[in-house]
Amino acid sequence: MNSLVFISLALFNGFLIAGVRVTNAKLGMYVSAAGASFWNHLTGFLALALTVPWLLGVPDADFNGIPFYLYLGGLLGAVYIAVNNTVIPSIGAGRSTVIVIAGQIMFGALLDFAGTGMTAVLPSFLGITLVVLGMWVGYRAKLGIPAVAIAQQERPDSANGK
Amino acid sequence: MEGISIKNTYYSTTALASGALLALAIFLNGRLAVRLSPAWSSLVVHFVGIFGSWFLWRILSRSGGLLPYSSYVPRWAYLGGLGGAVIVFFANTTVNSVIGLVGSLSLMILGFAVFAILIDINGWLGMPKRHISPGDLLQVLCLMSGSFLIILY
Repeated sequence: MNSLVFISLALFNGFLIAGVRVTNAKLGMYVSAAGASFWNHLTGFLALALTVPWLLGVPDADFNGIPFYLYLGGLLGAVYIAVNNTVIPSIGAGRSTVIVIAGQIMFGALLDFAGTGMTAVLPSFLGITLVVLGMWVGYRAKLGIPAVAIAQQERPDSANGK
Repeated sequence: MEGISIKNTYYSTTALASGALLALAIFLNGRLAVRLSPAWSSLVVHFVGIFGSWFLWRILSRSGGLLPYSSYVPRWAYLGGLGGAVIVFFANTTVNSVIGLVGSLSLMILGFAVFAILIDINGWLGMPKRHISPGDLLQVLCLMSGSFLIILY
């Protein structure tokens, strides 16, 4: 009974992720993909900065002892969101989403394998084969009008965030 | 027609590569989360991301402005990042519950893909409506079953 609540919450969280990604891509159609990534990080940071310290307290951690490269995840995230904002209006939210997930899971499995060597080889190999097959199927598909073109029709200028 | 399919190949491959980029980002953020906490790691990551994305925008757009602003876009679109903070809290809650990390990840991915496809079909959030062909469904089936095979084993 209790687990049903968490199952629904995790599922709903997935809905929310899709909503947030597509909302930012919509913004990107007007202020450029990287510009929308900026707003995504700014508003996300403000919301977290106003809630996390109060709800969870300040961690008892040595910020100076954290290796510099661990902070670079934020830069990769900024690029990732910008790329997503380019891809979603072009090939659709659904197609973008399943491809990004596949790329993430596949590369994540490789990272795990490189790190610990503990990955079930046969299911992973089968999984990667299915992903490659899925990509091939997608390459053969025809696309509709890219949403970017629609956004350009809606506005008279081609402002990149003026 | 040929131009369209080349574009599709280009964008699809870029999407796959960005997934790899995301995995690397999550790997680094996870290491940071061990030292801080998942929520604090997300806070720090968002902070670094503000500067990363701003510089990226300035370099790519060649805009002289201070902020990437356009009055043509609906105001709500600027506030998407607020939802990102809610996602962090929900993920924190479910990962630490009975369903655990694998359960949370699988369900979030499922919800993510299903809702993204619904957005395409219904044209929600200002996106153009898209027709879902049998080929599209086959692609979704292959990619999702492949992803779940890797996650669950």
